[in-house]
Formats: sequence, C-alpha cells, structure tokens
Amino acid sequence: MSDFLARFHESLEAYLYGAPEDPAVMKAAHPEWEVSLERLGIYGEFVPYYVFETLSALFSGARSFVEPAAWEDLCRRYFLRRTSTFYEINSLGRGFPEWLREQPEGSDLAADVALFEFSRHEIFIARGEVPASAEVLSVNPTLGTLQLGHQVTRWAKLARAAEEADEGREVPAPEPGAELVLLWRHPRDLLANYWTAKPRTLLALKIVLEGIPIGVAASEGGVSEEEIRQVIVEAIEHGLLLAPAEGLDSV
Amino acid sequence: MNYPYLGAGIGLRRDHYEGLQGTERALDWLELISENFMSHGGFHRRNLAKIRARWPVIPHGVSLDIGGRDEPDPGYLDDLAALADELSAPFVSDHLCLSRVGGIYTHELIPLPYREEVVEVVARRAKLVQERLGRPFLLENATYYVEMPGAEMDEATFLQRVLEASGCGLLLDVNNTYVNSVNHGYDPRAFLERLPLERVGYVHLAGHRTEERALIDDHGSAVPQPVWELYRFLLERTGPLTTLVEWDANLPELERVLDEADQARAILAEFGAPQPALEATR
Repeated sequence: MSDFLARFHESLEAYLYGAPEDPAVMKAAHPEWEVSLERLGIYGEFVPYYVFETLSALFSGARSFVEPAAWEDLCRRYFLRRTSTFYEINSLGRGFPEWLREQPEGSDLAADVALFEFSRHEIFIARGEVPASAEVLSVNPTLGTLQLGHQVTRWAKLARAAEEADEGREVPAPEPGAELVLLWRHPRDLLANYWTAKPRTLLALKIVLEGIPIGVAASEGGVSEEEIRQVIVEAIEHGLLLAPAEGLDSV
Repeated sequence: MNYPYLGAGIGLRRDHYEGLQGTERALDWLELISENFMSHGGFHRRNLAKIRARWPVIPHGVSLDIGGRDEPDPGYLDDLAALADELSAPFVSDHLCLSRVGGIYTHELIPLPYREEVVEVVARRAKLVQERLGRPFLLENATYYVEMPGAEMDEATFLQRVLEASGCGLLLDVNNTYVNSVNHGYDPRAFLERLPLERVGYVHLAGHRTEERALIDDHGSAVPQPVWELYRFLLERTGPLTTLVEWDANLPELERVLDEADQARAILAEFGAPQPALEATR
C-alpha cells in the first residue's frame, strides 16, 4: 500500500471512529484536499446513525427504560467502541446488553430487557432447521435459557398485546425478581417463543430429556399424570417439545 | 459479456414476504441484500425459499468492501458463495466503494479515491471474488457526497478503468448517476456516454431525497421523473436491460413498489424487451 493510501485509510478511521462529528479531522490529514466539510460530514453522521437505528430497533423495550437523551448518548458511545465486526448489521448488538449493565445511564432492568430482546433475535435468525416433528417426543433443539433479575416475560407479553391493540396504553415495567426464561424457535411459524420456566414445565422437559416414564415422574413429583400430560401437550402446541408425526398417544 | 435478460424486478424486503406470496401482479425477478440472508436461517430462509419457487432471486451485497484497506473477508466470501449457489444466481453484485474502516463494518458506502493504485487493488480483488463465486461479478457505481482526496482521474474514467482492469460487469444505478451529477455539477447524459455501456449487466432505479447540503440517495420514495428520463436515455443507447427498482426507507405497500416495476417494464417494452430468460436462474 502506498503512503498516500495508508494516510487516506488512517485519516478516514480517525474521523469516523475518533471524531465523527468533526470532518475537519480527516481534512487535516490532506491539506491539499478541497472538500466541503458539510458534505464530508454526511459520512460522520450516517455511519453512527446506522448503529443508533439498529440498536433502537433491536432493543426497543430496553430503550423505553432509558431517558431519550441518555439513549442517544449510549448509542454514540457504543458506536465508538467499534463493535460492528461482522457484516450483518444486527450482530453489532451482541455485546450491548452486558455493556449497558455497566453504564451509569443503564440499569439492571434495561440490561435484562436488552438481553431478553437480543436472545429472542438470535433464536429468530439462527441458522439451522427445526424439524416439525421428531421420531420420539423430544425437546426443541433450539431451546435456550436465560437467567434474568426481572420478570421480563410477563412484561413482554403485555407490551406485545398493547402494541397489537395499538391503544398506546402504559405497560408496567417488569418487577424485580429472578426469572429463568425458556426461549425457542417454533417449528411452525419459525418465530421466537418464550416462557417463564415454571416447575411443571421444567419437570416436563426433564421427563422428555431423561426418558422418565410419566407415572414415575408423577409419583416422585407429587403431581397427577394428567397434569403432566397437559403440560406436555401444551409444550407441544407451543413448539417447545416436538412430538412424533403420529401424535402424543403413541409415546 | 452477455448477461441474461431478467425483465423488471423489485428489491426483496421483509415487509413484503406475505404480499409477494399472494400477489397475482406481474413481477419478473427479485434482488435481495446478500448480508440479510447469508447468515440467517429460519423465518427469512423459509420465506426466501417460497419466493424463490416463483421468481429468480439475485444477491446484491453492501459489505464486500472491494476497495477497503483489508483484503475481502474469506468467511464473507464463503457465505456469499453458498447463497449464490443456493439461488443459482447468474451473477452477483456489490458496490464500487469501501465499507470497512479499521476492520469495522460501516454499513455505509464510502467512496474511494479515484487513483490508479486503487483501480489495481479493486481489479485484483474483483477477479478473486469472481473466481471464488464461480460466476460473473458486477460492480455498482455508488453515490459519493464528496470526491475523496488524491484524485488522479474523474469518476467516469475511474469506472472505465476498473471495469477494464477487472473484467467485471457494471451494475448501473441510474439514480446514483443522477444524484452524483446534481451533487457534483456534471451532465449525467455525458457521463453515461463515457461509460462502456456494453458492460452493463443490469440497472438500478430508486428515489432520493433533497436536502440543502446535497441530494441523498435514500431509496425512500418513487423513482423521480429526471431518473426515468435518464433511464430512457440509457436504453436508447443499450436497448432493454434487466432492471430493478429499489425501495428501502419509507417502504410502502407492495402494490406501490410493483407499480414502479410496471412502469419500468412498460418502458422496456417500448425498447423491444424480449421475454425474461427465467431458465438462466434455474
């Protein structure tokens, strides 16, 4: 690479990722360059804006728990951390929830919601197929878990319902308190589903994973076989468990 | 290089997945943004498969970074090659620009200095890309809001030189040509006359917005009249060319975007467009 090209790339980097609000930084490296700073400033405006726009779309819930001016500042500082190391733009959000947790304007609440939102996004876009059925009753292979410090799933369902109703009604923020979240991709509509991990759901998962007969699990868990069957049927309906094509009765 | 004639198409956007699967409107082909599918599975891939069953779908990238400081990312090329194979794409395209700075993806098309040494870098990489993908590779003339420092030639000469040295085809964006001509004060018709038009593989049409500081290439509105006029001027010199209407910002209903493709198809018919060569993508 020539000296000129090396200087060009260095000056572009110093401008866009050092002082995107100040195009004169790049111009200073090329004294002979006749350029409109207003025009050159378009790049310093657009490149960080894509990061702002992407974070705001990926983390619309988390954003609602941060003051607007603070959110803008967070996005600007996150941009300067140069996190877009993969070609797909949404991937730049991968480290955002944990980074947000450490920021003064962030909060555990906003970070928990952000972590939940990005986990859903990753399950939604992940490569790989989810079979519609399985040879034997199985756990959906896309299942992941998330340990949060707030009751986020209830809030997410309420927020979604409010959005769909388009009534603009306020949804109360997630309550503090540990929540284990189950996330998976539904084999039918391929959307990311989520449940809070209730003891009976975990029992159903254990039964399927370890091949425990329902009768044994019922007597050991102190619940009726019928109740366990209901949980399993519901989990199949929601795609958390995959049943043989011929149905649950054959299990 | 002869490229198959595919007719008039539109950009594939998520909000239109459902509408596309139900539409009875005329549509010849679709173009997708490569990066939106290369690493994705699930919902997007299932919809792509359904749409691909009805129409040819061609990948068009924004992050190859053909003119950047670093060599093209091998992982990126592997993912792009896999997508192009899956789509049986007769060609693949990206922009003549840089899109990584200091190893970071900008997601913006940054212009290159118009210099011979840049021509050499781009041409060498474009040949590698073409070889890796195993199919023709086209470079698009990008918008530029400033001419980068150190220019040794003008934009038209730079494009000519890159195409000549790389052997690549040209994805001629007529909106970009118009936007650049206004922003930099030149005659877009004279610009087109200077390009090796026999290398045009296909054409992009789109809208832009007017700001005091510049016209901004935002793909956020219908194709404006001056761009349609420039498109006709081009076709008078080339005959019918595969054409794609891009619409990204302020995305309207599918019907409205298809109206734009209809208009392009009607103009192409005036220039004696043949039947689209669908078998080229099967």
